[in-house]
Amino acid sequence: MSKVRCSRCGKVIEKTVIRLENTIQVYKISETGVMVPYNNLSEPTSEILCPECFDKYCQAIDRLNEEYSGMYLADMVEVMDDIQYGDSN
Amino acid sequence: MFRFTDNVIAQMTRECNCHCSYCYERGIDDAHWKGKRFTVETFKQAFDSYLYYRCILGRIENRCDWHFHGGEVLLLPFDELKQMFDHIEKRKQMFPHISWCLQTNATLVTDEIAQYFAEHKMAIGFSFDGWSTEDRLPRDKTRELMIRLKDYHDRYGTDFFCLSVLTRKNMEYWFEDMRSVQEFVSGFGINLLCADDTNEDLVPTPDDIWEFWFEPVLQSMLTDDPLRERGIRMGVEKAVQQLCFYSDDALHGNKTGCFDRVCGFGSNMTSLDPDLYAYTCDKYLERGPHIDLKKKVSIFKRDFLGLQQAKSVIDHYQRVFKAEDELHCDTCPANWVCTGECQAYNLSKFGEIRLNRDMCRIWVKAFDFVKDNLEEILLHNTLRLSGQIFGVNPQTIERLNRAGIRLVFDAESNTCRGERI
Repeated sequence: MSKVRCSRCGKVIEKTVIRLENTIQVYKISETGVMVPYNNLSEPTSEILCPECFDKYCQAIDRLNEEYSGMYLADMVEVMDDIQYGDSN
Repeated sequence: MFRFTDNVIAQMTRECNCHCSYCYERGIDDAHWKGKRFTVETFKQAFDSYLYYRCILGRIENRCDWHFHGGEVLLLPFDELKQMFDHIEKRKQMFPHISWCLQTNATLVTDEIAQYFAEHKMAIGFSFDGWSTEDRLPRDKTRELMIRLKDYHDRYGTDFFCLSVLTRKNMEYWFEDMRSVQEFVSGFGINLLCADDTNEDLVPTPDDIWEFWFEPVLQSMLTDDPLRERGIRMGVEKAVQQLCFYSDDALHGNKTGCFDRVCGFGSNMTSLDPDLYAYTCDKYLERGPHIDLKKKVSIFKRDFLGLQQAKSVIDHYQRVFKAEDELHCDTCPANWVCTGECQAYNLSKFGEIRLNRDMCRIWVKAFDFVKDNLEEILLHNTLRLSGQIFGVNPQTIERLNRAGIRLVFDAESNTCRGERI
């Protein structure tokens, strides 16, 4: 029998273990305008989830998925225009 | 609240048998905290939930410290404390990098306690503010207490560490007083008194801080018998590292703060009160009128991915960044050397950000002192370095060589010192 427990609900996970990892990187824009990483604040973290809890997590995150507005898409395309792609030949 | 925490300051009780006029616990709601103490059971719950996160995050190999703090810890029956210590020792089999220590006013330390700590090779941190203040104990009782502690050190080998508070009452004799107990004390730490409405007459001025704390400690580092004071020594070590070496810590500006660890203000240190509520830092513990109680979180509240702890730290740091901009830390020559960020912009015990430009001035002066006396400092001290060392600064090496000094770097212990050629 598996001894892996879901880190959210505590239930023993029988088949599928979903490990979710997250890192928050924090930068400070210095007086000189440079983005300085604040390593003290950047810590990786994770959860070990059962499929049910992962489902709940996906539902909660899905609420952040608002529809793009036309203006936003236009801005994104402009940014993409600036990206230089290498020649595949 | 424990997810990113490597240091826990557990306030085992908020009560104390001494009533010092400058105590940081002054102003707490005594009626609320009366009789509230950690029990063996609540301790085990708190400690095990702390370890639980270390398991999930795979941080078993990281060093972590559990500080038994107060109020006065030894108001708890020692039998109960021993059960807590034994619980830690049991868990140590799986988490070998756990260490723990005790911070006490030492008035209740007994033979049994001193012996127990010596056997477990754990340090007892005690508070001693010198002979000139009678706040804690009358002078003759202080003398008796110090003789007793020295006796424990001689008989059992108990390791003592001393913390003191610098006030206008004791500052004049502080340095010599600390010297007088250095024989049985492995190190000293100092807390600056937080200014509030009631203690203005006790708070030392910036000139006092330089004259009675920084200058004598720095001068002692030019001799063979320096005062083992850790705060300033840490600043000197960083200054020497900045002057002599290229290292990733200096490049990335990783600051070390409380307990000699990288300060992430809550990502590294968490305080815990006997109600089992955690705070991002002990400066946020429930005391004084300005405290933001939103920062208090039950340790049993789930914190998915640690986002709430991360958020509280980032919220705090946004205020710190603002303070740093006002102090112009980015362009300050002593930016990385300054270990005193708490002193410079977070002096308040109420968790308020207050700017103290005088502390900046003092740290720049200390940095200049190290620049001027680099040769003597290297000859008389073995200095710890931090992070990965990439190389040496050729200009500094040339200066040292011209003075007949060779810089010796020990990669194993990550230390450096100077030797006459």
